[in-house]
Amino acid sequence: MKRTGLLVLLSLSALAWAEPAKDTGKKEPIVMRLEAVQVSDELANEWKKGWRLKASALEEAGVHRLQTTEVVGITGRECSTFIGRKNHVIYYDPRASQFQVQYVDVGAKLNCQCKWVADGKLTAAVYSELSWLEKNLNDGKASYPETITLKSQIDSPVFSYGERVLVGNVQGSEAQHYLQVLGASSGAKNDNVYFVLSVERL
Amino acid sequence: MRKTLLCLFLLTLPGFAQEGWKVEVQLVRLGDVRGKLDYLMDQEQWNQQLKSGEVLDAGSTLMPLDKEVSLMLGRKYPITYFDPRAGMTQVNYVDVGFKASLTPLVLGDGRVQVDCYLEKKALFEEKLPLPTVDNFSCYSTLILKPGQVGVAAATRGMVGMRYLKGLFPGRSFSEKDTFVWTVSARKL
Repeated sequence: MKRTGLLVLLSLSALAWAEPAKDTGKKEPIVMRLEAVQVSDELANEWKKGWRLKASALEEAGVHRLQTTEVVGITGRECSTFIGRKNHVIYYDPRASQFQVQYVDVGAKLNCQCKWVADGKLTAAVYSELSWLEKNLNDGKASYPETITLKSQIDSPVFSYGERVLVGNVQGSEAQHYLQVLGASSGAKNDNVYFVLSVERL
Repeated sequence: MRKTLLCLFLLTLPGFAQEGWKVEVQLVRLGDVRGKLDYLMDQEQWNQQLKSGEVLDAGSTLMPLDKEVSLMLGRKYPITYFDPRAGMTQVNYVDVGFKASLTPLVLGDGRVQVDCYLEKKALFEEKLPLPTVDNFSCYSTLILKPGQVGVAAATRGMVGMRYLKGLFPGRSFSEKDTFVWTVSARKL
């Protein structure tokens, strides 16, 4: 009886000391870069053919960089950066009998987590946003920010370090309006906006 | 017996001798780097890079190992609101200014891993009860050799520029400028 009790205690203590499951993914220092670009119609036709771009793709004529956001981290860990404005909206919630606050962020946002797959290969979970305040709506009591936002959220397929990956693209009337609000050149032509991700090993 | 105890005591001493590091955080405007930004530099390289830029905000602190440290310089902006349930006015504070939180972890090869949250905030509109705040912040993880300078985050372009002008009123910036958060660590 004593022996059984001792065995149970021993196995319980072994369980308590057992290390939690480790993340076996390799930790590599990396820089994650997201570029928002406006692209000419000619290039956009070219880019439609796939989701990977050659390394020099953004240096070509017909590419206008709107915003570049970079953050340094390691594979397996989420990193983020934000440049922009935090607008607050306050309203009275009668059910809770109190005032509530909501935050509306405008600007450039990048949340990214890369996973090491094999030597030189990785995948990325990316949330990106590029927004601008369009106008403030006023109901007489308070003003509420109305924003125009381009956002994209993806879990990428496997890609290589240094490769440029198309993570999101819009075109057409919404894109024309978006570019106009942003202050970039607009019109019925060249209204292609892309989010391009690249990751480099440090 | 005494000798054994003395030996045991001496053996425990290195465990008490904590290695200290000094860490420096900077928010810097660099000129037109044309995509040639180095993310890890020695101090000399960084000084060269700084010649074409300016330090907008900086701070340094001691960093004991495996403990979070933080540094803040700025205003505590009061937010007042009436709480109908308590039947009275309440006050909360928002930090506005320069802020850094860093957690170091020394790796086996002598490098240090620094998990950092860096933030620069400025009031855009001081409308009560809540202000509108401009913000350049990042959560980042850097792996640095002693004496190395690492870029934690960078931004350039037309959208970010509008808010950077709000963060540093009165300064003139170019749309080609790159703005970076850097962290450097050296052993004491």
